[in-house]
Amino acid sequence: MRYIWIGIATIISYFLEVSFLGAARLLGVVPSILLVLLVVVSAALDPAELVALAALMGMLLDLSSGADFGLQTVFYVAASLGILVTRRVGTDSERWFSSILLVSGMVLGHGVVVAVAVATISGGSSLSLGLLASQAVSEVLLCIAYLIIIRPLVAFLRRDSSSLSIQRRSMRRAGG
Amino acid sequence: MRNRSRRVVVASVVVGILLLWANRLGLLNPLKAVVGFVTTPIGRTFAGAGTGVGEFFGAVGQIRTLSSDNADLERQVASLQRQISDDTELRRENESLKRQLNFGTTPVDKLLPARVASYQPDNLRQFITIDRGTRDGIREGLAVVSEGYLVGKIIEVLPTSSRVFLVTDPAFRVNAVDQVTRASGTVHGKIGSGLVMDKIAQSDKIAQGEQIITSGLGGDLPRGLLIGQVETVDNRDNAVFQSAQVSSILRFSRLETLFVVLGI
Repeated sequence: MRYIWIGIATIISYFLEVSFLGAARLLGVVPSILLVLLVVVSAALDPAELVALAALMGMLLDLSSGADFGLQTVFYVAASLGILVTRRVGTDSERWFSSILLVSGMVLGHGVVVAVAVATISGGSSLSLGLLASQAVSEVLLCIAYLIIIRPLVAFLRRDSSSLSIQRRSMRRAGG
Repeated sequence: MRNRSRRVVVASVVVGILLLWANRLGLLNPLKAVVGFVTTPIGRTFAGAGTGVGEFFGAVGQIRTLSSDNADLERQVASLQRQISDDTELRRENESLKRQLNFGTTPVDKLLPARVASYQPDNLRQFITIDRGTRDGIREGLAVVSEGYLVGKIIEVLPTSSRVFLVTDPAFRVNAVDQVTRASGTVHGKIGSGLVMDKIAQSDKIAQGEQIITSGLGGDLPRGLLIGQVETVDNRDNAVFQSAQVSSILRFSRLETLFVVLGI
């Protein structure tokens, strides 16, 4: 059940990002909402599942991207590893402050990676730091707004996964 | 659990490298075709809704500048009306000359209408996906226009969708000429500030308001497609070349219906 919900949320977020928000360009940017979803659902997934989901999200974006095939997959996998590292040092993505911090960090990191890729291709002459900074701020704001909207999902997933683990435990006991 | 995580990480890296290699060899095209087939119709609907929302918020944001924009537009209308009356005579003359020289114009059936299905999932690169592919006769390198202006060119074709490389991307390059003075240069995108024409020889003359068109040289885009108008010219004595800021009337973030130029 948990996988189905995450799957549905991933597909909806994907279409929102590449089609709806790509066309709407609120505040002039396309927010990386799949990245927000990754942070939000990370609390309900074990490390292996999280990396696999990140790879799938990155792959989906790479298939819709016109350039730099593999960049999104690599970034999303790296982001999932980053989430695991922060989890180890005690950052809980279920807390508001931590999740906002994680989302902001990931979005800024994504912006930097794309900017470096563009600078490599165009020689950096077509990039302006002021523009990149304003885009980054706008994107972080939109991503935080999306985080606020989809956070109830993680509460639902946690409930679902905890009831699943209780079921598993009782099945194990019955088997033992 | 830790071993399992390590295995997943290693597997992700290996799969990632294999995918990059497969993409380079074109082995991922069937997968891309399937994803394109499934996502294009849904994406088109989402993009349509997104454009409406974007237009609404864009209009709200522009309320303060509406009155000055209106005055500018009225001036432009007056100037264009004068131009139309001049152009009518020129058109008659042009048609007569074309008949004599046996030249044709672009037949309407060689422009294939297409709609935007998805956008590039980042803020710096400029690509879009349209809902037409090899089944509709599209092939790589074809020009894409909207409202008579160059949008970009096709760089990847799948059976039901195609990827368009927009002229506003910083890596896009097209040879162009000034329609009036024939000054030639290269037009490319500049993030946040539209289009730039550079590599214009210092000896060439170029002025504000003149139209820039594709030259048809050194690439697969046909000659004569309108790119935009010269907004400002940067001519420094110590520079090897001049450059000009070019503005297109198109809003590249709000493209909806486009036309693929199948042939001229």
